[in-house]
Amino acid sequence: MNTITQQFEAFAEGQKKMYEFWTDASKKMMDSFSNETKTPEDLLKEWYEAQKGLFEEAMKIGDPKEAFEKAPEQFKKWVDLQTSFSEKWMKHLGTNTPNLGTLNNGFEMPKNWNGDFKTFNSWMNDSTKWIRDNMMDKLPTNMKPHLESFTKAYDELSKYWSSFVKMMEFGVYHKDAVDKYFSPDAYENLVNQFMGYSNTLNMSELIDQTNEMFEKAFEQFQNNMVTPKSFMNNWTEQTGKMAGGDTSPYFKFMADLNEQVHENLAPYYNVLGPGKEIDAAKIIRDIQFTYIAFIVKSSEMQTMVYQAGQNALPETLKAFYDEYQESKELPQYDAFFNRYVNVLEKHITVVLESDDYSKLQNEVAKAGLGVKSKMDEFVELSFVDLPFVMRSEANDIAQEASSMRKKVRLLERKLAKVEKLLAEKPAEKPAEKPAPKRRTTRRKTAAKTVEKTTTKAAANKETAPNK
Amino acid sequence: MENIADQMLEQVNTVSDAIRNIAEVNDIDIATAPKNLVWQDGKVKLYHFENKATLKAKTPMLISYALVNRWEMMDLQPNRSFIRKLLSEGIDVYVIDWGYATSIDRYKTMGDYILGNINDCVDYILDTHHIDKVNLLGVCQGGTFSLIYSALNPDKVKNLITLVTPVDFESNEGLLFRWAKDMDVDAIVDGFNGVVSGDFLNTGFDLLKPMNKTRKYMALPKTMQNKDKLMNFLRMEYWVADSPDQAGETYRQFIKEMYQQNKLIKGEFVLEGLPVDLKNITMPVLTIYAKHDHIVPPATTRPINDVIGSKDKELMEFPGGHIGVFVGGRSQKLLTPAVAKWLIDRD
Repeated sequence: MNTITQQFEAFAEGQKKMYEFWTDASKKMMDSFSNETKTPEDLLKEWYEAQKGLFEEAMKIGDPKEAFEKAPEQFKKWVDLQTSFSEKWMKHLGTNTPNLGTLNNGFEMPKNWNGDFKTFNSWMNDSTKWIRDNMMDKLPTNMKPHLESFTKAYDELSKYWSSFVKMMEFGVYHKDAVDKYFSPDAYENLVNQFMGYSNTLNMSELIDQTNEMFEKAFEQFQNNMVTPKSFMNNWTEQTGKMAGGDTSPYFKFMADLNEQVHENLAPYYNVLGPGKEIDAAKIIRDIQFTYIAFIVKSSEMQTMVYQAGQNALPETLKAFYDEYQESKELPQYDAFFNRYVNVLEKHITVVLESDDYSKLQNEVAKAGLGVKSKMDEFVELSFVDLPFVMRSEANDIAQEASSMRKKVRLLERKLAKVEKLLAEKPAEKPAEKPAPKRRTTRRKTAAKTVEKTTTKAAANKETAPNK
Repeated sequence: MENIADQMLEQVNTVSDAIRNIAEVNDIDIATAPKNLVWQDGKVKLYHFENKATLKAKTPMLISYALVNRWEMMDLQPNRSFIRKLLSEGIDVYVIDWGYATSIDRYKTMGDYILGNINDCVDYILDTHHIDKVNLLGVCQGGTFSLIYSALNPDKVKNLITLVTPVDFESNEGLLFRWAKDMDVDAIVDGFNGVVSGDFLNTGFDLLKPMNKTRKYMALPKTMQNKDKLMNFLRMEYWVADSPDQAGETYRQFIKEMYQQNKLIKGEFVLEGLPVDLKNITMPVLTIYAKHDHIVPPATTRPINDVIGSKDKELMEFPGGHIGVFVGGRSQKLLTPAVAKWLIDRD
């Protein structure tokens, strides 16, 4: 509720100022609204009453949840109101200001308008900020940095807009001249925003600082007084200091990585037994060299891209100068920005397609991942006695699972073959069982005895007299 | 020429429309075509789409999307859904959802995906529908998987469609193909502890056209003025961001044996001891590619027609890029009806 009322208050105040400016501006330009039934003051009063009514309606909503749910409707109503009044005022303004010119020339207002347009620009800036903040909220998390980078690049280049306008007007487009207004450092910062790079800075200074940081870490192992807790505390302090300095982007990468490791393992320091400190020290050395390689290769790759695109701005300025000679029209900032981005991409793509860039990009990826990999190894060694499954042990489980999957599939394939064979085989008659073999001696004797008995019995039957 | 007043009014209207539309956005809905989960093995799921239209092809179709990004691109928004359009054209549609690889999947191989998951899904459909063969549609890497599956199991595939599918990786026409050849894939996979980050892949895709994002955001003020366009923009953002991690061994094998050694088209590819000969593909095949595809250039797709054994085979070129071929307006009018008709004619 507070957020909604604050927003309303901010916009209402901004609107009030804007309409006061418009009222004043209209008075300066026109002698009278002789054909209109209302005076500027009447319109302002009408607007203010409507604004107040809308605000009171919003305040009547008691339940904060309901207020929040109804916010879009309120905004919609408020915005509709502003738009209709804007249109009314602009119609008056437009009818009576044919000689004011346009906004083409970098928002250079006629001097007597400067103070008044500040209010309008301020309202526009507040609105644009609201849009950016709320648009950012709607995006998925991993897309937000892209919009942020774009916004920074767009705003950064606009600071030079008035200079660019003059340069296009007067045909100043040679690189040396352009560099005076838009320095190589400013250009590199801009490309960093577009490409997601970090500043390359002074490479030798960066390497010296990196080595210093690692040597201090290594000294702890040599003193034989180190424990995992003391090492991580010291390491965290070192990387944090470096991340706050001038060479910060590269150390920030290291500091962020370290912070994650440190935070996750901090609760376990007190239950640890002795770790494999010697092996861990060796890994630290590996990390040091791999990290230096990462910094150097990244810088080399970025420099290739910077060099490729450095003529894009002069080319864009010349193109618009040539067009200006024909049409006498200078572009808006957006059109300029669009053209510059396309020309820059054209130049950069030539480098991206080269063999050298392809190999270098692979080396940068390899070095960066190498650092990560070594950090994982370092953590596992340092906390080897912790009572839970380490990554390498989890890998063993994953390997077993994969092996079992294959075995099951192989068995299924064999089974399917057998089933197919059985299905294809024609049905066979059951084979006749051979007659059981008679046993010769004992059976014969028995048979004879039976026969005799039977015969005798039969004979007795026959001769027995009837009773 | 506009005067200041007109320009100011235009700015006020742009801002007002944007504020109104953004304030009304709540949920970002993607892949809303009704479907049922009919089979599952671990993370891999098989979905069957509900279809109220009369079926014009008796044989159901199984969609095998790439492991990179998600199949939901084919049903991104209701009015530009490749899947919904197929359903309305009378096709019975299934889709494999590969899920999200985690560290337990680090040793999952191409064999597991193709001989395991795809085969299991095909068998499920065959058993459920009491049929001998299924229609198979593979997209991008999913199309390469489908080619391999069809070559090893021609008796189970009635008709095969490949969509923006690479088969000849020799070409350097696309930057991706160029860069993959220099990639030390062992270092990448091992550096990521066997599960290659989806964000890493997305960074690579972004670099193919480094200013595409900038151009997209430049158009944002106009986009925000229209609620439908704003929602479509946000849907695409969510889909792009939803990039699953990759099982390392599959990634390793695909990069080495496809991108770097081009084994499939050379007839040298062997999957778990089974040699894969694309000449064994003898069922009807429709190969579709996008004219301006910078991720899978046409030169890497067209050779499919030359290497398969099918007599009934067709190449179709559609305007647009790798993604535009699905979500562009022409997809609804041209591509999907063409796919449906092709299947119905061969049912």
